[in-house]
Amino acid sequence: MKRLLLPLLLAAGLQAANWKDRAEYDLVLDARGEAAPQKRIALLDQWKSKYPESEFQQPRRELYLASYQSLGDSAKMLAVAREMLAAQPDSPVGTYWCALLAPETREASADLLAAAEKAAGQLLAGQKQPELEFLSHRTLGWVQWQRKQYPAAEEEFQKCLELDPASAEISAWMGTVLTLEAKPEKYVPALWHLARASAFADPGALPESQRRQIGTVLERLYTSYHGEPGGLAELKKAAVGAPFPPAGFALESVAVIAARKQDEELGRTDPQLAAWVRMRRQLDSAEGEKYFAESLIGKPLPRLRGSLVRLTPPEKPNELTIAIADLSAPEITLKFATPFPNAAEVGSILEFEGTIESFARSPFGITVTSEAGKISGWPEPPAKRRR
Amino acid sequence: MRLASLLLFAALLPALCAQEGKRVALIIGQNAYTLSPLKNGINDARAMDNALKSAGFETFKLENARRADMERMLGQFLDRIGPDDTALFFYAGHGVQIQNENFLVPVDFTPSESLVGAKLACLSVAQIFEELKRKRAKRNIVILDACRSNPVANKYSLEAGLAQPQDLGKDFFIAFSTGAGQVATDNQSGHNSWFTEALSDFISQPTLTIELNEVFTRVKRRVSDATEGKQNPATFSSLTTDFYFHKRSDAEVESDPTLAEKWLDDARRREQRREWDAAIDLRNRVLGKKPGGTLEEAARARLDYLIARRDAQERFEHGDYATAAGLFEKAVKLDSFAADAALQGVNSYLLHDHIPEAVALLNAIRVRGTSEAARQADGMLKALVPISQEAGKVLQAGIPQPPPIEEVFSGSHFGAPDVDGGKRRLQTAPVDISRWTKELQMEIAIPAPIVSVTSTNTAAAGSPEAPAALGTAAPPDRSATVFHVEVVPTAETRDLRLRPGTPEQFGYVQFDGAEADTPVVFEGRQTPLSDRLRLNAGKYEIRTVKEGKVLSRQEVKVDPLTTTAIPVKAQ
Repeated sequence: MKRLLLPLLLAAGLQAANWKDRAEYDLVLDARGEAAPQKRIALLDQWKSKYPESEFQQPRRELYLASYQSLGDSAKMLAVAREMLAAQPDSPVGTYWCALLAPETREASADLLAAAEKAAGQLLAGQKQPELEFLSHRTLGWVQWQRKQYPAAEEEFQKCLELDPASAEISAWMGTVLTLEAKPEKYVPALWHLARASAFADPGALPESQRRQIGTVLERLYTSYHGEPGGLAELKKAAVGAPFPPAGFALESVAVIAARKQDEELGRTDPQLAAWVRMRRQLDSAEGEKYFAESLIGKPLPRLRGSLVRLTPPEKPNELTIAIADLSAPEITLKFATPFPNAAEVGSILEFEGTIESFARSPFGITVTSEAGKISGWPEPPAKRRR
Repeated sequence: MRLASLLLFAALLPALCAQEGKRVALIIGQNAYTLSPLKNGINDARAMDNALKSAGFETFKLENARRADMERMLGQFLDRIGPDDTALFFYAGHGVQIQNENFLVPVDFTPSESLVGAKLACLSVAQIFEELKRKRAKRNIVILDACRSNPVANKYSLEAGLAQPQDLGKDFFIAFSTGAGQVATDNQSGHNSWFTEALSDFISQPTLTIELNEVFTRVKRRVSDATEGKQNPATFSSLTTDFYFHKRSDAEVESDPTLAEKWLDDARRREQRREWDAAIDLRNRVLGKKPGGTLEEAARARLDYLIARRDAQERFEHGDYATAAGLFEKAVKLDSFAADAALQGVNSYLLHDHIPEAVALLNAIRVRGTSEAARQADGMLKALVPISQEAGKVLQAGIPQPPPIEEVFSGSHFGAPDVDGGKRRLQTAPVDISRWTKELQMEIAIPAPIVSVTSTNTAAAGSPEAPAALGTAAPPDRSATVFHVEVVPTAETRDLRLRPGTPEQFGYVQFDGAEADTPVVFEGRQTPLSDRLRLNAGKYEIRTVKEGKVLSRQEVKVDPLTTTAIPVKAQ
């Protein structure tokens, strides 16, 4: 990498720069001989203060950068990198460190996000090296994350993990943004990534303390998703083996478990309603139309019970709108060739059957042809007065 | 056998002594001062309590402590401290310096006429120090977030802020939330003081495996930034051991990719102190780790130079000037800016009567050394002129321009990022995301129970009975005994029911605010409170009833096709 970037150094014209005077050179030699980074920074400060217009401002910034690097002071390193970019927008050193260190910032300003995004974009547009590509996507994903653009962040982290599947840090970030998306369909992959971040122990793993920390979060999220911690160990074991969940990987949510239990209960207590619920779920699925065409159209509707929501027309109706389980969302329209001679009260409970005719997805509804003889619960017409 | 055991025990003794003992903390937070109450003292104490517990401290916490409480708790705290332990004292509240001595102000402080009285009413920091010294803990950490403007200082026209500690004693670390004599703010708009907010945050991060001094360096930076330089925490240390709130495991230390980098930094410091053997050893350790890249290159690049310097020095000290001169010359060839090696080489050549070689080295110093070194070389050359024509020529030629910066820092590759260093940073300092993860939630909507619209009352199909309530799973009738809500139709509604309903003549009532299983009774049937109740439009009376007694009544109008929310408070 360094060798490849050396032509840039030459392009920057560093070779042509000159010392202002011998005293400037003396200051630089002093800084060169100082091994303690804090003291070296003090010497660099002297150089900067006495020679603010030095022809070696960018090398001086690099020396600052290296000194702060020795101190592990990423905030100062980032500040220097941004200074380098301000002086030379295509500075390879400034670009690299700005992209790498921006995610360490605690409170990222819009300005920093823009700078980090630009730096990552420049890295990406430069030489095609997996390491630099990884770094770029890491930064771009982080930027989108901070902007709460979670799907965009997810895309970038996906690329990162494709480039470096062993990056447990990115697995942790991915799990976090997927959870932050707050979409139930993202929760299982989120748990997978967090499980990997907490359990992966090969090179690329997070430090032990951070793994423990993610592990605690994972346990809490897993339990709230699944209802209990059973199966978490298996999830971790599986996630250690692959950076992404395999196709079709699923974990039962508390909602699915509750629905299953409900279905079982409903199957016992109200088989008619249970049959309808199953049918309704199939119709609501992405394959609803196909299911309807292949399995329902023209077939008899099992006998169901529902509440009368609307009569059309209100007197002597030939069309009844029925709600099965939710009065605010009628689901079945019964059509009759012959109108009823009288009306029933809205809210009446009717049992009915008929032949399934059509299906609409939104608003949901199926139309069923029926006849008066197949309806029970309809009131008797008032007796005619005899003269 | 017994002797062997004793020997084994003796061998283990130093290791046992080196063990870390308990971590014990006394935390005091004060708000409720009569004269000048504070807002954040207690919050600060609680934040530190949580943070220190996360770092393995056993804590004693006092809030709004009176003088007697402080002394009592201090006694309990001291009783827990043993020789291998780390004792930490944290105080957030008013503090004052009286005659250059620091005092902590209890909440029951009442101003007296004399300074002596004031001293007696407060707790002396020096007293705490003395007590801690007596316990001989392995280390003592005293943190005082007490440098706020305060009533005691005002009353006696004393200097605000705390005084710098005079006699720290061994193994003490003291931190003030601001510099000696300065006054810190209570951060009225925040939940914690600036200082404690930063400190507790850093201590709470288990991934922040940095030494105590580094923790406080970061605290100082954050507080200074937050207050735009108005508040600058100060620390004083006589600790002889490192302390980590969160320490990395041995395995982590061993596999730390920055270990080689740290050795190399240490090697540079040793070299600067002319500890050649140590510097060589550290560089060899770096090479032994095979870090590759620029790090390995840097470690290897200087190794030959260091060996030449070490050997040259050794030969020189043995009076073997001929060999020493050659080795110094070799060192200068390996690092042409090593002016001190060149000077030593000059000395060796002169002592060995090799004048031309000495002159050449002096010339090299003039070209590449500092102005001071060049002047020194000039002086030596002038002294050599009588015996060396070459020295005269060198002097006449003058001093050329110093070499370019790339030559000065020949291993630095200006303009090219240190990608290896970046990789090491990525590996060893993953971004701490706990501030995001601790808030993460997975909201799962549990499906509402699916129940038939029919109920026991409506099973008699065909009857235009009362409207069906959703979710009427007909729980057992508890309405006679437990708290429940009754919905009673008014005369108007009852009249309506006599007429056949039209599609738009019903609405819903949704009860909010009580437990989900509070029964709602309508027309003698129960439904859970969480469900909506479908009612014919009209007026109703909502009654809360317990054990047959009506506790409250509320009239509600149900409009067609709308939902009316009724707040219910469980009794």
